[in-house]
Parts: sequence; C-alpha cells; structure tokens
Amino acid sequence: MILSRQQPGKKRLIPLALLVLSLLAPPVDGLAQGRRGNTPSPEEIRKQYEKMQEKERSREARPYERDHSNIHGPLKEIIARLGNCTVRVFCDGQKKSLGTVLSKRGEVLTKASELKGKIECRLADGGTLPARVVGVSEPHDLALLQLEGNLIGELQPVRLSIDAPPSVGSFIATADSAGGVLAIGVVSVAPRGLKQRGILGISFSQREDSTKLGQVFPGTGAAKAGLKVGDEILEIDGKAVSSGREVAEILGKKLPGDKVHLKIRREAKELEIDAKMGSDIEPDRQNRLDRMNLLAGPLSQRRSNFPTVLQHDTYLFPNECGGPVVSLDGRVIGINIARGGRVESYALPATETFEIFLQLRAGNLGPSPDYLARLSVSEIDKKMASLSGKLETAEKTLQDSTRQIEKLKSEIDELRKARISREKAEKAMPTRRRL
Amino acid sequence: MRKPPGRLALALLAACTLSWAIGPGTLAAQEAKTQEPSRLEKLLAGEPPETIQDLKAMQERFRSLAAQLVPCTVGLRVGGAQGSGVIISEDGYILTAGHVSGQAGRTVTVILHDGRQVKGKTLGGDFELDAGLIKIEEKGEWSYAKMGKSKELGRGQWCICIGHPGGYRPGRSAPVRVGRILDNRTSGIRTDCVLVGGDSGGPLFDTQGRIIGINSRIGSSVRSNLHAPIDAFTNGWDRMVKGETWGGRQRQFSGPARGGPWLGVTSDPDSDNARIGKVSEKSPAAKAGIKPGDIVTRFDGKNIGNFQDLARLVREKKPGDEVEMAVIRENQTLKLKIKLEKYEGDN
Repeated sequence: MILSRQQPGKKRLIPLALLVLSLLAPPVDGLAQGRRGNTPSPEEIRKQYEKMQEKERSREARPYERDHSNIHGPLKEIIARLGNCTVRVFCDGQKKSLGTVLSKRGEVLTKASELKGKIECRLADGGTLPARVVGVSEPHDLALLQLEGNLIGELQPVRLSIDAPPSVGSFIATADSAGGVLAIGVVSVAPRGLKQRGILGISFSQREDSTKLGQVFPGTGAAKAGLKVGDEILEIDGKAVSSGREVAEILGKKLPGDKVHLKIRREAKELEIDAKMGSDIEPDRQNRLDRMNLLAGPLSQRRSNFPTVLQHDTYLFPNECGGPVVSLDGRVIGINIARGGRVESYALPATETFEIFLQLRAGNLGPSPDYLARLSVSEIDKKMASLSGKLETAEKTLQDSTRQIEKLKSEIDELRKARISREKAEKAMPTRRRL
Repeated sequence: MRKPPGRLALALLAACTLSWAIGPGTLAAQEAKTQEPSRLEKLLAGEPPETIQDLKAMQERFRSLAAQLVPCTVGLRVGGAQGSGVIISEDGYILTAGHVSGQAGRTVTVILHDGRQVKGKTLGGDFELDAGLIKIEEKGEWSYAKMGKSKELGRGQWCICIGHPGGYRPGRSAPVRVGRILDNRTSGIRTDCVLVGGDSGGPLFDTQGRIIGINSRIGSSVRSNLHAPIDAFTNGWDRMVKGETWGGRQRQFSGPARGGPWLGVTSDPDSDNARIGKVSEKSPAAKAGIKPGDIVTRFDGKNIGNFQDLARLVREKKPGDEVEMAVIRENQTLKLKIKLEKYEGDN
C-alpha cells in the first residue's frame, strides 16, 4: 500500500485543510477487507454523517460551483412540472429514503433494503401517510409501497420513460420531496450489470512476489476454512500461483458464494482446503480505497449486485435514494437506487424499473397478505385461474420427471446386473497359456 | 451593447456546429479569436445558464467530448499499484501523476480503453507538481488527446474529468465526471469533478477537449479534487522525456552526501517496498551480505515500509555506526549487522 505523498510540515501544494490522499488504488482486488483497529463506533459515524448531510444540503453553493442554484434554475421548472411525485420515506421516525409515486392509487417505489419498522411517507406540504410493503424485488432492491389515507389524492404519478437512457455526459437531476432539485450530475457510465465481487478475506505480507498470507480476517470465508497467517498459497482451483497479484486476479473474478479449492503450504506440509467466497458489505476504514470513498459521506449498505444500473456523479446521501432521476427533456429516466462511492451514484433505468413495478403490483414478487387483502373477488378469481394453470403445468413436468427417473433407475439397474455377471465370467476365465 | 440579430443567429449556428465537431479545439479556438464568443462558449466559461436550451447546448458538448475522450484514457499498473493516464501522441506518450509513475525506468502495464494490455516504461517526472511521464513500448495505433494550457483557466469554467476509480474494471468504461474550476494556481487546479483512489493520473479536460490537468489528490469535501496543472508537463517536457525526475519526494531519494553515512545500495524501481536493486562492490551492504532482491523490513529497530524510509533512517546515522537490519530473502527473514561507512564518492 502506497502512503500519501504529503509530508507533515511541508508546504502544501494548495492551502486547503484536508488535502491528504493521493489517488492510487490499492494493489490487490477481491481479497481482504479487514476489520481491525480503532474505528469510531457506528453511532459516532452516523452522527458525524448526519451533520455533514445537514451542512451540505443547507449550504448555499458558491456561484462558480457545479451545484449552484444558477445551474439548478432551468431544471426547477422541469421538475416542478412533474408535480407531487416524490415522497420522503420514514421508518420508525427516521429519514430512510425517497419514494417515487407510480400511480394515483398511492403506489410508491423505494429502496427496499433501507425499510424497517413502521413506515410512513411524507409529502411536500408535511402531510403524512401510513404505508405498507406490497412486495420486494431483492435483485433490484426495489420495494413497492401502498400508501393509505385521503391524502393519496394529492399525489401525482411519474411516467417512466421507455426511451433509451441518456448517453454518457448528459445532465441529470434528482428531484427532492418538495418538488425542487436536490442535486444535479452527469451520466458517467452507460447502464451495466453490477456484480458484487467475492471476498475471501486474506491479505499478503508486504511482499509483492510471494503468496504468503500476511493477514486472515476474522469472520470471513478464509477464516472459516481455517487458513492461517503464514500459509503460502500454491494453487487455486488447480492453477499454480506465484504472486499476490495472480491470486488477486483469480479471486477477483469470483462471486460471493463461489467455492475455491486451495492448495497451500503450511510449515513443511502441503494441505488442500476448500473455502467459500463471502461478500463485502461494510466499507472498511482500514482499507485505503474504502476510506477515500467514505471521505465525503456515507455509502448505501446495499450498493452492489444489481442486474443493471446507470452510474452518475450526483452527490447523494444514502437516504436520498429512491427518488426519480430526470433528464433535461423532462423524462424520468430512472430511480436512484444506491450511493456507491465518492464518485458514483447508481440509478435503475426506467424501463427495468417499470417492468419490476408491474411484477410487484401483480404480486409476482413476494406477494404479501397485505396485497391479497386489497384485491376484489374477481381479481382473486383471475389470479387463482392463472395459478391453477401454472400448477397443472408444474404437475405435468413433475410427472414427466418421475417417469424419466424410473426409466434411468431401471437402466442403471440393468447395467449393474450386467456388470456383476460379467465380472464373474471374467474371473472364471482361465489364464491363457503361452504356447 | 446589444448585438444585431444577424450576429446572434451566427453565434448560435456556430454553437450548434461545435457541439458535434470532432477535432477538439480547432474550430472553437478560431471562433473565439475572430469574434465575440458564442452563447455556448460563454456558458462553458461559467456564465449562468438561463434556459433549458442553454443546458442542452452544454450537454451536447459534454456528450461529444465524452465519446471522443474516454478512448484516450488508460488504466496503469506500476509496481503494486493502479492508476490512470492519458495518451497524448501517436507514438504513445502517456501523461500521468508523478506518484503513479515514480522513478524512471519502471515497467508499466497500460490497459487501453478496450481492455487490451500493452507494456510501457516510466520516464521522468516533476514530483513537486505531481506530474509523471510514461511511454508505450509497443507498436500500435492509439487514440490520443491534445494538451492545452492551464495558466489562464478561470474560476467557474466547466471541465470534464475521466479516470479509472478503484482501478481498471472490465465491463466498465472509464467513468466521466463533469464539474467546474474552483481554484487555479501554478501549484494545482481544484475542481468539483469528484475523484477517488485509482483516478490518479487521469486527465482533466477543458470544454474543447484539451488536457488541462492530471488527477492528483483529494481532500474530504466533494469539492476538494486536485489536479496537477498541464503546464507542469509543457515546462518540464524535455527533462521528463530524458527520464529526469525532480522535486518533492525526489529529494529524499538523493544519493549519499560526500562524507556522510553510506550503506551502498540502490532501490529496485519496480518495487514499492524497500527492495534492493543493486549492491555496490565493497560497500558496507556487500560486506554485511545484502543481496539484490532483498527486501529491507527493519533498520535500527524501526519498521521499513519503502525505500524512502530506509534512505531517511540511513541519513540520520553517522559513518561508523553499527546498525541491526532485517531483510526478507526467499521467504526467510534474515537479521544482519551492518557498519555504515563514510561516503567518499562524489555526489
């Protein structure tokens, strides 16, 4: 790990209080995310971040900065035209996210993983509506909320754009719950799948040309598999490795849950060990890159493993996800789904969001008793008919499979019998005499 | 003074043309010299946009620049660390940060925008301003960007920054960020184009697509993003091409002073650890049995992270001092005793 260039007491290049970190990425990927050292308690960190957010959002940007109201000005009109389409989601009284109104019936999409306890949604004028979860799409981290009460009439649904999302370099704005502009940004990367990388939980000693473990982090797949500091990795999945970078390259392609087969040398013995890759959820302040990513504010707990996201550079806080993202032509091009790092926020593109909305609404994803309680008799009948059809198909498949299993079993049985008699015959055969 | 309508129409026309012009700088620069800047040029220089049309015109420029400049931006692997860079010539010169390239003569893996990897070598650098130069050593055709000037950049002017945050990631194009110049000094440019680890060495462009800075370091605020000024490269070009390094950390790498303490080793430029490159004959190091490739981990009871640490601790000693050292050689930690001598060479 390379240390910062800045020498204490030396003249700083630009006299700013906190210019401390040069921007190298750490040498290895997919390996260790350690948990050690004197880190502040989660509660302390939360408070510190809350202060930061309050300061950031109440601060009037300078006229020469990107997020000055001058730049927001023309966008305000566009967002105002969308009307009362964004709500603030509270869980047990805590601000957790924004929500995007999808129908006049009070259906709202929001970030699922932040939800817990008693859910309420607040409108721009301060009116509060109770909400319940209708369904959740885990892969997209989207939840469909049903708001209740007569204030529903004040909500205005957004129309999710079916056009292609704007290209890299395009301006986008995130709406706030008061019908204004929360922040702006540009599209950084076109939509792509975001796989969470697997973490084994090891790091190497200072040496870059050895595969000897410098650390094994507690609670990780490496620790569970019994790897120890000083173990030398010889092979991964049958492939010989000789440097930390080679190990990183192989492990960097693994996903959480993947298994790896390791051949190691411990003292003079060679051992074979199976380990399972874990996932890295908590950013780690000891890790240089994570520390930089946390420098300007907190990250979403769930910020990876999405089927598709559009990356943009809007400065958002985790509790500002869930709201609509708007392009310069007034289209709602997606919903913010995660704060991923210092330079990245993610939005689910509108087409995917709409698809998931339809599935959630139909109860195809995590139907809940709440959802069923809302349906009319005829809707229930329709649903039952559809499910009966699916059940029939499934039963037929099962019958086919059972038949197939019987057939395969009897074939194997035949072979086994044949093998036994053949074996006997071979044994009984006299050894050939040499003539 | 009011503009005659004909002139305004002409200016708007120019703006439209520029928005999809491919060659950076050419038309726009001429336009700016010969007549009053167009509405778009004024907006890009920092005038507040008044309508959505204003923002759309700016956006058109950002889009075309992004498409054109992402392919010029590369990922770099030097020693054990990852950074970014930008190709600036047909023959493969790459600008990066001084702290990415480090000493001259190191081997570099250059990862092009399409994932292809080619080999390069580090050349010189100005470590005071954090400017470093690399050259691709293979033959090929590269997309490249032009160098601009940083001296006259004004506060509020729009800019684009590209790099590989977290290092090059397959399946992700280099993320584009847009922001404005907040501060411009000869020592560095501050913008609100957000940066993070791995962006080091990536380019900062003006709205004509010319490189005006190289990503260098950050502070805690999203508005503390620092870039080495491009003028550092222009001014130090000849020295950098020759492989000369100067300023900043370089001073700490200066050899032993005549009459000062002497160990008799040089660093391995491809390593970020205190790895020994060469051992001088009949030097204290040679007598103590230090060999090229050894990694020094302790010196005089103190931990050593890199060669700088070692050089600093040696300088704190006197000729004749006896010191204990620990080195790693072939997975074994060896303890050595060494007697420093007086340096008699010239330096």
